[in-house]
Amino acid sequence: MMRSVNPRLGLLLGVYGAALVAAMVIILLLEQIGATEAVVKSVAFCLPLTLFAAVGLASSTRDSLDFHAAGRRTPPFFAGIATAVTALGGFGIIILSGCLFIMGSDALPLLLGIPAGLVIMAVVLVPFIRKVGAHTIPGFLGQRLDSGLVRVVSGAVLSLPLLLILVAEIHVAGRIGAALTGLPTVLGSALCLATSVLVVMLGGMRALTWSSSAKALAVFLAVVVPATVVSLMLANLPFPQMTAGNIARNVLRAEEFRNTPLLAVGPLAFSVPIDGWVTLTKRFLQSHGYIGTLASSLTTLIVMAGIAGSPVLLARAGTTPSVHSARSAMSWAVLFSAFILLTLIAIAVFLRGLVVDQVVGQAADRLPAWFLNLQQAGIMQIEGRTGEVRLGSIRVQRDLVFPALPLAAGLPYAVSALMLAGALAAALAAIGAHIQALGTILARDVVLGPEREAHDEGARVFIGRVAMGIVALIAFGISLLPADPLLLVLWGLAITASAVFPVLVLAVLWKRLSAWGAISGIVTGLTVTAILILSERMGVSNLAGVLPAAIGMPAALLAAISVSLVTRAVGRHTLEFVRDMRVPGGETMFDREARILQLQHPERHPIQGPAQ
Amino acid sequence: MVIVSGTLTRPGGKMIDWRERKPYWRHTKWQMAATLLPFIVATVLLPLYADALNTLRILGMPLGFFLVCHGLLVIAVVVTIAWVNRQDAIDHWHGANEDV
Repeated sequence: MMRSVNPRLGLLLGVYGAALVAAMVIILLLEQIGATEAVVKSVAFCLPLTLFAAVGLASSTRDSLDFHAAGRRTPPFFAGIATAVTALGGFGIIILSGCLFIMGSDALPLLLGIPAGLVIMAVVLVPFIRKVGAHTIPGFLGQRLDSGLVRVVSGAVLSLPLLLILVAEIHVAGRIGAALTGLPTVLGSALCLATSVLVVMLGGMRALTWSSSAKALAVFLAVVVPATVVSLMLANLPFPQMTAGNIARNVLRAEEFRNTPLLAVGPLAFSVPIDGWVTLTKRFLQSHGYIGTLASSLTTLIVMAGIAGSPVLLARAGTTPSVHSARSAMSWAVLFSAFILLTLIAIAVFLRGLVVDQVVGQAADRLPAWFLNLQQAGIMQIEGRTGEVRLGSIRVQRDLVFPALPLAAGLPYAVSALMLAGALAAALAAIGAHIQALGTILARDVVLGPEREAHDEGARVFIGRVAMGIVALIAFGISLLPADPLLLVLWGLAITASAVFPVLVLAVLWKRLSAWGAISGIVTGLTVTAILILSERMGVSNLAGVLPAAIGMPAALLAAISVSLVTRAVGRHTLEFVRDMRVPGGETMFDREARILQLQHPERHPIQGPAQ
Repeated sequence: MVIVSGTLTRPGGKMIDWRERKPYWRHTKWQMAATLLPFIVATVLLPLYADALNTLRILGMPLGFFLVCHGLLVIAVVVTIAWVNRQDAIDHWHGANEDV
């Protein structure tokens, strides 16, 4: 069943790259030839959206393997950058850079968890999940534990964190749309959701993979180009990742010089900037002002586990041609995400440097022109109109920090629009991936699950499409409720880390994990974490943010191990499955089972495709 | 399906010799531990000492900041690339490499 890589891939990449650069240049030119800000920003919203939709629609498909696993022929580089951009999402670009600017080094546990999670995922899970090659993670668990019940239960449980993160990304996309076009948030998010769902409904994983790699390149340009230009302006060197360190040191010394108060919190404290106006209180490089010492270590570990166990990212392992290329795809993913995150740190440091250098300590009526622009744009403001500006009197909108840097550095506002367009690309990639994963889980594991794979290909693709549409409608309905996307993502990560990650790791490393053990692990993880999150919201417990997983994760591990030990030993079929899963090479196990089922039930497969 | 002296040849490509499966997994397991344990320890411990290290300076930036931001991200990249390389060597050693 080997399918070859598209030989014209390089040409297509060249055409797309040229179109992307041309779109960016058009947007920059529009400002220079005197188009109004509204026109420039609307073009920056619509042009990339059309481009990504075109890439997605061009790779639409009706073939089942293409629809569910991109034909298992995505080259490692493209699979890797698509994974990385999905892991970051609009959350990673927009919200994390806001957190970095406000929290300084306290945001690093959230940020470092992403590449660290990709490393854990690469080493512990990806090669084995690729060898099995199931289209969804519940499908993998069901096949590994030889149980339809596990498949349905884990499908239902996994949908919850996926839905939380999907809703958060829809919120982020709506906000970016509103910042770019001035349309209401609902309209922006509806537009973004409609484009994403159209692409994934028509092309499934194949369209998703190719449009996500296209979006990854847009994100790369939108993050790296402005940061490089600003680095050149501020430090005369085009390496923002390196020059940021020097500016961070200036910030450190300036804050020491002005005696900015140090914050002290307990070891288990966890707070993040709220949605809306936030006052700058913390020294940039002081650690443990928002998140306590123990809490920051736990946060790194939990975000790591939440990313590593993410069903959306793991399902992408199946799009690569072999176990070996799945591994190298993950090293591309780690490289891409680490580079983007290092540049995001630089962006936050540059903006903080400008604020500390040119605003703090000035008279409130003699502020630099760029700060007045930011004030007018509703990004930053100061309390009090007279006297010297202190750090503590500056207030900032968390989710608008990212596009503020070009404005602060005196670049044209078209650059800021381009950065927003890049962030929108990341949000769209995450929305598409989550709709695809949720829809496939609904179609394959809940609707078709108990009957295994014994349906003909056309029906499978059709049910998948309908499920994706349903999922998108549900998510859009939930996203109409007001919510803070940062909290939604943190809860999603906490639930993934406690309900999914321990069982997945055991499924790979421990042969004796039984079906009932897996079910009790998944259910315990979800229940404990959900109860702790709810009790924190009601003020009963003080484990905020991702911290509930610090109890949920060990509880799930314990439940899975103890129930597996008391239930009957696993059968020979499962043992043989595990032995086969652990070695690369040979036929993808999921495809082999499908082939055997096809041979056993020829009447259910009236149309036999040509041998590939 | 063709069986040639203990090696199973399937449509997807050649398979590892079945007697090699156990040593292969043992080798892989140790590689996993050797890759992840130092990485996780560094990721958890380094940020705790960042404040104390910030009084020192490297390449013009505070040492703690440098180690946590650049250090950990570079470590993550190096660890993954080294692991891909080593795991590939293990595959070849046990004849589990895929000829794709």
